[in-house]
Amino acid sequence: MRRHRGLLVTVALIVVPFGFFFATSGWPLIALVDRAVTTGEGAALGDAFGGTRIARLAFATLAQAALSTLIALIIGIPCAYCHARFRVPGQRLAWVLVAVPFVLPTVVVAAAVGRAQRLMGLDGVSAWVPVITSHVVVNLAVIVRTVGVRLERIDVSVEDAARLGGRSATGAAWCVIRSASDAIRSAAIIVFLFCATSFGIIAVLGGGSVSTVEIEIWFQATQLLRLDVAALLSCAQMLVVAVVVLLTLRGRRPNAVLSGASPRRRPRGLERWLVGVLVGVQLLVALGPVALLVERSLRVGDHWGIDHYRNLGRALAGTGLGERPWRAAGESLRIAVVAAAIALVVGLLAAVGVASGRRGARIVEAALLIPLAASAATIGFGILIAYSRPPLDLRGSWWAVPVVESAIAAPLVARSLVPVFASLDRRQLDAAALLGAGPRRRFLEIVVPSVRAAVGVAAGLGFAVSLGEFGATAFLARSGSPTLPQLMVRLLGRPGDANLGQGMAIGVVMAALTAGVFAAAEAIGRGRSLEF
Amino acid sequence: MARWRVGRGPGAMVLLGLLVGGLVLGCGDAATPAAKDKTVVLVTYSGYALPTAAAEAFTERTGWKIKVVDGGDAGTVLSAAILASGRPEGDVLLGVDTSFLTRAQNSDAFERYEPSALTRVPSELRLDRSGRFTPIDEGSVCVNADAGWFDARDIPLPGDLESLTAPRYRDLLVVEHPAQSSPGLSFLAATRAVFGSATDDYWRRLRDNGVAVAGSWSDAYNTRYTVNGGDRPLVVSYASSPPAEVVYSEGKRTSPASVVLTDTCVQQVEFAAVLRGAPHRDAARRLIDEMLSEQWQAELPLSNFVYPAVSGTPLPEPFRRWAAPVPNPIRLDPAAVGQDRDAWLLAWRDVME
Repeated sequence: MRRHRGLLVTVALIVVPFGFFFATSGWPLIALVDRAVTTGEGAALGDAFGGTRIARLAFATLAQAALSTLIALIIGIPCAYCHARFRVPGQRLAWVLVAVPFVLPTVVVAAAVGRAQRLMGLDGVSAWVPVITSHVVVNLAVIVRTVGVRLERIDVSVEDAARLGGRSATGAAWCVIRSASDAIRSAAIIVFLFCATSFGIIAVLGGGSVSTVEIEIWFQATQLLRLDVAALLSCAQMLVVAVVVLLTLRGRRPNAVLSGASPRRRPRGLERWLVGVLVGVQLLVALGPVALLVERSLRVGDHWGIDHYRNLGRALAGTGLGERPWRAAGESLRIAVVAAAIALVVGLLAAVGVASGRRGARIVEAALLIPLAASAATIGFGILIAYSRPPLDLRGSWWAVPVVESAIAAPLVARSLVPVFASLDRRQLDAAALLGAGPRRRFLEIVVPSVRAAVGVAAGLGFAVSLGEFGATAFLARSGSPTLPQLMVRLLGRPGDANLGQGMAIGVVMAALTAGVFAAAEAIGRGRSLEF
Repeated sequence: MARWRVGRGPGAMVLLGLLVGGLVLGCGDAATPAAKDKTVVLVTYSGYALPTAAAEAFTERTGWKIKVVDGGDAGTVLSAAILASGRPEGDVLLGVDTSFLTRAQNSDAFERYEPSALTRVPSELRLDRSGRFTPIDEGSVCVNADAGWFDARDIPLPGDLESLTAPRYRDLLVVEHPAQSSPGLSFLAATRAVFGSATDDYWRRLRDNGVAVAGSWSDAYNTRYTVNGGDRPLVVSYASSPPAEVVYSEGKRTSPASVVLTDTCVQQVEFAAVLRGAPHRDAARRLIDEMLSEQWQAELPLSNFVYPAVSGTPLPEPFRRWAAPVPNPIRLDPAAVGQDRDAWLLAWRDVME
């Protein structure tokens, strides 16, 4: 009887999550590699491009990711330092709000940055400028939060020692930041990967004039039907990303003198200005995009009005939409909720499984890394290739889109929950057992209260990611039933005020949904998410 | 009862709501609504306008409603149909053109069907020998010129493709990217048909003469073209663009601003076909029959600015007045385009990027 129960738990915590990740990422990637090897014959890539083009694409991809990461670090680290050391009005708000662009659908941020560019009269500049700006806006939160939490735990004595040693205030701050280098490094890796595999932002802002490997995969597969070339590109991208991750993970060492939270103080003199500017930057990054969208969505010709929102209720002539956007919105929401539910269940099981450290936990942990190495487009493309013939043909099935969205969201959900389950107080559990509390009671009275908040946050994150998913869905959603991000991009790609206004209104609706759900979850979780 | 504390608190509410919601929504009517009513689904490219009167007549006579699915650019629509081969999104696909005919023929995404009215289509439009692709209409992709712009500067209009490389037309032409836009690909194919092995050299001269490349037809025509407020008085567009300017001007224009350079025109035939695995195969066949009917054909010029495929179909007034007849369009060999398209694009990229 006991043995059976143990087996059951192993199945639930290890086999189910691993099976899900294998089915939605592992097997599709194997199918892709197979496709690339059997039909590509190695030369296809050279044929389809010429070596110079592939080299140029790879260089552009890596260079823009590196530059985006660098800028995010330059802005993000000082912001993180302020959060860790100073107490100023608005700071708490900035900490919560800076995460908003991260959960907004990428296409929404891109549309807002494009709007800002137009308002500033910068139409003529290279398309890389808005692309990199968007990458910084979206990913700033990862740096600020990951590094901020780390800096907070570095004892003030480090600074005091540096000051005693004769360093200036800036020099002392530098010492502290240097001792958080491991957190900086892992945040930077994450941001670099997100930027290198970014899809929605470049699809909206690139305008065909800039391209990366990720965009080229989509283009070759869905536009030119060169599945072999696309598969080869996917493999090459995974390889490069894996090498980058391995190189940066090597020689990672814990450093710094850690303590609990250090006391924050009010800034003095010149510091006041610096801190004020940094808080302002974060508020701008957080609220600017949404404000720009709202502004554009309310502009009707040369006056203000809510016509574009009213128009969401009907299919306008000239927009090429067969049905009312509200219908698409309803369907898109339904899909996102289903995807989030799947992601939450799988993510929870995986997180408990990894944290439990039972046999097989390492395999599940490794499976969680797949979506970091394989991009969204690669996973979407892989699912399309792997499940396109009997016995399992997902094409045209209603389940295709929720499944692909949950494949992207589940690892993020699981990764955000692992530390929570890993840090459950074992001593408290043991003490409760000693005092005679049964397993059920221990679970309900100790485990549940301490993870409840984090699970709420993870659910919000899962929903936001599912609703905004663009890169993987691009391969599987049907043109007759687009998801909200796809509908928005389609509308923005057409000339005319009605299209643009309706697209922006959809952007505002998506922003309200994702930011609203996430903010509610954050409030419950006390702003501790997005730490990598 | 301490255990009920689980159910309290917002975190648990979010969790519970999500799970229950997901379960309910996921298990709801996942079945496609198409099965319920008599609706035949027409998959086509962005901007396609159903000839409304003819479509209503079809519905009235047969009881089948027509739903149009916008699949994006013509190339994208075909790619998506091929990727979905056997599990199509609709019943009929309209929008395979001459440039993409071979790709469509080489796939297994379409079924055999030849309507009886096919005999009334001139033989030079019946390019498909496999019995699957029915020519519905034809049009030409041509360089359009802003007549007023050239008049005001006393510059003569360019004549043929070669003249576009002359120094006096420096920085005046905008074309579409051939990998991203179907008129762009048609224009590239036209230069291939005319210049053959000297095409790369021709594009090199065009490049040195300052040709601009736009991502889409709408970007080129609506944004870059001087008639619509842009900076380029020469644009790759359609032979029917001049009448379209008048019809779409809502009374503001009484004559077109553009003239067509007829020696640059390349003919594109547009085909429709039944998708393999179509849920409503019979209705799909009836729809293709309908597309060759007198009423449908007669309505095509003003709904989509194309020429009817069936010979003898009367043309509406704006077409008779403003659509310059194209006596000798450059004709493409679909097999050549299909076979060499990738190589052409590659060569083009090498010259232009």
